[in-house]
Amino acid sequence: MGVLFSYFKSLIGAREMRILILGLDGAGKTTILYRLQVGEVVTTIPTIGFNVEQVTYKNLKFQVWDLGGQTSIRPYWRCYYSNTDAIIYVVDSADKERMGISKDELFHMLREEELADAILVVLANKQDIPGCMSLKEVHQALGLEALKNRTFQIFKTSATKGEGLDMAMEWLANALKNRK
Amino acid sequence: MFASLKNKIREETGSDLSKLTAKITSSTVQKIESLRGRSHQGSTSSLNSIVSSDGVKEDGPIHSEEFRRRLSKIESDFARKLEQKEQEWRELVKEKDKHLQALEKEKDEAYRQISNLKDSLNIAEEFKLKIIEHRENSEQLETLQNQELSKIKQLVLLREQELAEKTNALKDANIQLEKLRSEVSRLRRQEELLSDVQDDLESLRHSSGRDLAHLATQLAKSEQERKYLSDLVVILRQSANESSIDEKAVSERKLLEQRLEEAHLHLADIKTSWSDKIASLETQVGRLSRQAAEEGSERRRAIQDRDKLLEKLKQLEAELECNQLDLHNKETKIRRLTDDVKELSAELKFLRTENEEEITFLRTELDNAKMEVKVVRKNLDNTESELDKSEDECSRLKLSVESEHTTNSSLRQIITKLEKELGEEKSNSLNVQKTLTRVTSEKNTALLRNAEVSQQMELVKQDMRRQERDMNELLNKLTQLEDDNTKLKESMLVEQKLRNSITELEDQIITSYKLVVIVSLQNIKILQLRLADMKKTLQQELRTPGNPNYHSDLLENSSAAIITPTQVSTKHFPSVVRRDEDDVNFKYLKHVVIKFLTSREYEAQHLIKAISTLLKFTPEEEKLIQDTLDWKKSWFGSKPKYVSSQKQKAYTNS
Repeated sequence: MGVLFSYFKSLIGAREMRILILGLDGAGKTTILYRLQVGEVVTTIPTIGFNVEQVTYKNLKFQVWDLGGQTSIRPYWRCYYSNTDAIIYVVDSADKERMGISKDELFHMLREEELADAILVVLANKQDIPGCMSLKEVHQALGLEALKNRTFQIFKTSATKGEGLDMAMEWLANALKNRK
Repeated sequence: MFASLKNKIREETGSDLSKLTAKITSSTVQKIESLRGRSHQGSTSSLNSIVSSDGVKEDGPIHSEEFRRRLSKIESDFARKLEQKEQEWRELVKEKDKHLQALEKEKDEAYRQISNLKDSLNIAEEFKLKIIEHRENSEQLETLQNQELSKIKQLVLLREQELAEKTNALKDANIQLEKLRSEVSRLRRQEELLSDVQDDLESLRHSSGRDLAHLATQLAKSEQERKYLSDLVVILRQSANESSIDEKAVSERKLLEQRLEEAHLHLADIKTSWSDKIASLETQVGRLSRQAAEEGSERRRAIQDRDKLLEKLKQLEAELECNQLDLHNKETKIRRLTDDVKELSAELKFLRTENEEEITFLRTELDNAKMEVKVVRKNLDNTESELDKSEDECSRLKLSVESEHTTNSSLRQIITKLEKELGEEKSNSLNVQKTLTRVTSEKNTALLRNAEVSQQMELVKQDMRRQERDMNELLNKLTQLEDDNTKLKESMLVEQKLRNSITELEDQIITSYKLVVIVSLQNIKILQLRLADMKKTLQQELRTPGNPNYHSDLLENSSAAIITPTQVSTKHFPSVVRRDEDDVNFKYLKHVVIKFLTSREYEAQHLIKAISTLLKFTPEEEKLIQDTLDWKKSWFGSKPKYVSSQKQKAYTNS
């Protein structure tokens, strides 16, 4: 049955966009994923492994992969890079200490050949926490000015309050449409 | 009344009346007795007392002391009796007073009743007057209504008369109208005649015109003929003149002249006849025209008459309509009036009935009032009789009261005497009071002095108290200080104890440390031994055949086996750390595998790489899984797994 279904799907040609949500552990990747899918804040536990969900936004179907960001399982990210259309890189704006690690991970990831065509969306998450870094500060700390030959955009978000996610998704949808 | 007096006496003397009476001399007692005997002759007790006193009087001179005793006894007895009598008398008076009051109350009630009855009588009379007024009013209303009715009737009669007159006038007008109509019809016939005559006249005129024209044409013909003939004559004469000797011509001319003359004559005759005819016709025409004129005038007159009559007719018709309208109005008025009359009569009846009802009601009320008046009168009579009775009683009571008054006056005399005594006593008391005031003033001065002394005393006492308080405070402080001292001593002791305990504890800790170190060392040794065992077992396992990495492992492990236990322990530390990582990796692997098994093919494809990296698959194995997935997805094609598995088998076998 599943075989039949997928076959018809391939015939119709509505390919799902493959999107990875990456970032350090505790940045709010899983919260963002479920916020996008069901529009609600769910209680999450640290992801050992990954979550994959179908998200429909403006008639575009996304297959969103939320990969666990713990140090020990970070090396496995590379296993998922193939055929990726876009990367949502989530940064905890309040975690100033690990901003450097986050930057290293991001650039390490972007060096991969498989992700050469992927669109990058950086989400400066947890903007609701007082004393967090501003969008400009995050931009500077991640050294995004060094990025060339890549469509990317940075947004400030708050997954718990649902702020900024719509704007980011709209930009991403438009970027993916334009790329086609 | 008497009791109050007695009370007064009691107040003023301070002693009872009985005691006072005891003091009174025997003569006065006797007097009183005599008085009482007179006043209460009917009572047996008083008689007995008199008898007993007489008895005493008989025995009196025999023994003076006994007599005195007896006298005193008798006096006391009498006093008691007097009191009793007085009490009885007072009760009687009270009762009578009560009775009197009750009677007065009854009297008042009777008077009130009388007044009430009088009021009701007045009301009844008012009702009577009202009834009379009502009757008068009703009569007046009746008369007024009758008058109005008669007026209305007269009006109706007048209206009817007018109506009759109007109808008569209408009839006359109708008759006139009919006459005029008949005249009109007659005139119409005359008109027809007139038109016939006119037609005749016109035909006659026409015929005469034609005749005239005919005659004129004839005349013209004859004149032409005459001209022709004269021309002929002229021609003939000329011919005659030319032919000079034409005798024949002359004769002819003569003949012709004769003929001409004849013709002239004939013409003249015709002319005359025509003129006659014309004249006759003219006369006829004149006559006819005259006739026509006459007839026209007659006709005009008739038309005028007709118009006049028509106008009259119209007028009469208008009048008729007016009259009819009047008639209608009159009739409606009459109806209205008759209705009014009916209504008025109904109202009259209603008013009469109402009046009658009112009258009957008032009569009944009057009867009731009369009854009430009778009852009230009866009551009045009763009350009056009662009043008389009560008055009689009153008079009786008054008499008794008067008698009492007499006794009272005698008592008063006694009282005056006593009052005199009292006055003396009062003077005495005044003297005493004066002395008393003097003494009190002295006392006051003494008290003032006393108060001053006491104030001084109090001041001294207050000072004392203050000093005591200070003393107490000082004492308290002292005690507190002592307490603090003791506490300090205690704390010192505690400190010493604590120090001791600390040293003890330190000793204990040192000993325990030593023990722990020894134990841990022992443990370490045990663990090292265990590790050595584990190593040995591992080496044994590695040495088993069929493992492709056998030789390399053997080489590595042979070197490891030689290593001393201490080195082993150092080598094994990171492996312990790695175990945690492995735990995480294991969890990750588990999760990924579960996902891989449960996910859709599209997702699974992406997971192949993850699994292969986690499980360190060879590229072939990875390919195999990829192919199987593709096979699962596709409709056709052979299972790729089989071939690759064979390959793998071959690989493993080699």
